[in-house]
Amino acid sequence: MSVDDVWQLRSVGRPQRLRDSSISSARPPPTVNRTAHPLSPILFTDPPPTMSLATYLSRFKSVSGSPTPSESLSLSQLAPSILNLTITDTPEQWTLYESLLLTTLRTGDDTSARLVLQRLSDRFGNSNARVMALQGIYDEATSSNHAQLEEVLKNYDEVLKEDPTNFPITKRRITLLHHLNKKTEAIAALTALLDLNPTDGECWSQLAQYYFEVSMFSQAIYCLEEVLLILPNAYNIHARLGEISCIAAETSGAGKEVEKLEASLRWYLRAVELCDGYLRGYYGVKMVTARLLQSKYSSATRTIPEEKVNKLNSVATVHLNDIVTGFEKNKKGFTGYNPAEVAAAKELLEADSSSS
Amino acid sequence: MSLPSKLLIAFSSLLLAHACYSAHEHSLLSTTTPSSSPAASSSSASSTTAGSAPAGSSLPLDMTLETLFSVSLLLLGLVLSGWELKPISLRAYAGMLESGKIQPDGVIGGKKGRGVFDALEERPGFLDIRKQRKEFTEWVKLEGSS
Repeated sequence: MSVDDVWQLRSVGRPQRLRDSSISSARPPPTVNRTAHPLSPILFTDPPPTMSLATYLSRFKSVSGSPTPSESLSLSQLAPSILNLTITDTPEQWTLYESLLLTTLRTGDDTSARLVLQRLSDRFGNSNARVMALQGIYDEATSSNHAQLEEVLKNYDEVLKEDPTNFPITKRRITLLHHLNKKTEAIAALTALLDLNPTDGECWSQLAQYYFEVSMFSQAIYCLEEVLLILPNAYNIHARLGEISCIAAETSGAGKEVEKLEASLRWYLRAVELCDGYLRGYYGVKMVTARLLQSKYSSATRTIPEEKVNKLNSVATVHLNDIVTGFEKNKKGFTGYNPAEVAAAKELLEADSSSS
Repeated sequence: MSLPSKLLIAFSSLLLAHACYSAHEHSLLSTTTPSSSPAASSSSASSTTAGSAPAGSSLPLDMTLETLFSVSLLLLGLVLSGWELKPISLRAYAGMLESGKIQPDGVIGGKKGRGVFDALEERPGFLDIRKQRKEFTEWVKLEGSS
C-alpha cells in the first residue's frame, strides 16, 4: 500500500461506528491475519486464550515503553482476541487500542494495525490531534522507501501549516527529521517547539538526547536541568545527568576532569537519595568514586575529601552486593531489577575486587 | 498478624465484654432493687432513690475504668496487628517500584520493576517506530537462524 492510498483511506472517514459487526462485515475478520502475515508461522503458534479487558490492559502496562522483541511478539499475538472483544467505548478500551496499535506496528502486523487505527479514527474523528499522530506513526512504519517517508514529512508540514499548535504532529515531524538523519533540523524544530511550550519535560529530555548524540554535552546537561525544574524529583534524570557528566569528563581537558567527575558524583548521590535501592544510581556512585580514587588525580584539585569518597565507594559496594545477591537468590523485593543491569553491576564488583 | 497483637486483641475483647456485662448487671440491680421491695420503709426510700438515679452517674468507677482501659488496649492491638503500611515517601515508594516489590496501579501479577519517571526517558511522543520495527525484524532473523 503506498502512502497516497493510506492518506486516501484516512479521508474516507465514515460517521462514528461503535459496533464491531459493521467493521468486520466490511473487512475480513482479524483472524485472517494468520495467513496474511509474513511472519505467521512464528507469530501465531497457538490461539491465545480470551481474557478480560483489564487483564489485557495490565499486560500492556507491565512492559515498558520500549519493550524487548519477545515482549512485543507476545503482546502482538493478543491482537486477534483483543479485536474480537466487543467495543465498550470506555477510556480503558481506547488506551488498550492505542498500545495495541504501536505493538502491532513494531512486529509488522500491519493488517491488525490498520483495523485498530480505523476503529480509533471512526470513534474520535480524523481531525483529532492524537489520532493524526497515530496515523502518522502508521504511515512512517509502513513506508517502504525514502521517497515515501519524504511524502509523510510533507504531509506533516501541510498539517502544521494549517494548525501550528498541533503538538503531537510537531513531535512526529521532529522524530521523522531525526530518523532521516537531518539532526540539525530536528534540533532546530525542537527548540522552536520548546519556545512555544517550555513546560513539556518530554521535549526537554528529547532535546538533551539529540544534543548528547552530537556530543554537545553542556547543552544536553542544560536541557536535563530544565527537566529537573519541571519535575524536581525525577531521580532517573539525576542519574542521566550523572552519566552525561561522567562521559563529558572523559572528553574534557585535563584540568576540568576532576570537577566534572565530582559533579557527576553529586548527581548520582542525589538520585540515590531520591530512590531507595536504585541500582543505576549506586552503580554510578561506585564507578565514579573508583575513578576519582585513581592516583593520577592530585588531591589539590579535589573539593570532596578523599576519605569521604572512599566511604561512599564502600557504601555503594555494600548496596550493589545486596542487590546482586538478592536478585540471584530470587529473594522477594529484588526480582524486578533489569537482569542486564544486575549483570553489569556484578561485573563492576568483580573488576573492583580483582584490582584491589 | 503477629501473635502478641492477637493475644492483645483477645484479652482486651474479653475485658470489654466483661465490662459490658458488669455494667448491664449493675443497671439491672439498680432497677430491680426498688421493685423487689415496693413496700419498703420510708427510711430506706432515700437509699433506693439514690440507687435508681441515672445509671451513668452511679456506675462504679472500676467499671468505667475497665471499659476505657479495654477499648484503648483493643485499639492498640488492632493498630499493631501488622498489616503492611503503604509507602508514603517518594524514596520508599520509588525504591519498591524499581525493585518490583510493588506494582503500579492496574498491573496484576507483574514482576518487572518500573520507574516513576520512566516516561521521561521513553518519551512516547517521540517514538521512533521504524527503528523499533527494524530491531524486531533483526531479532526474528536471529531467532530463525539459531
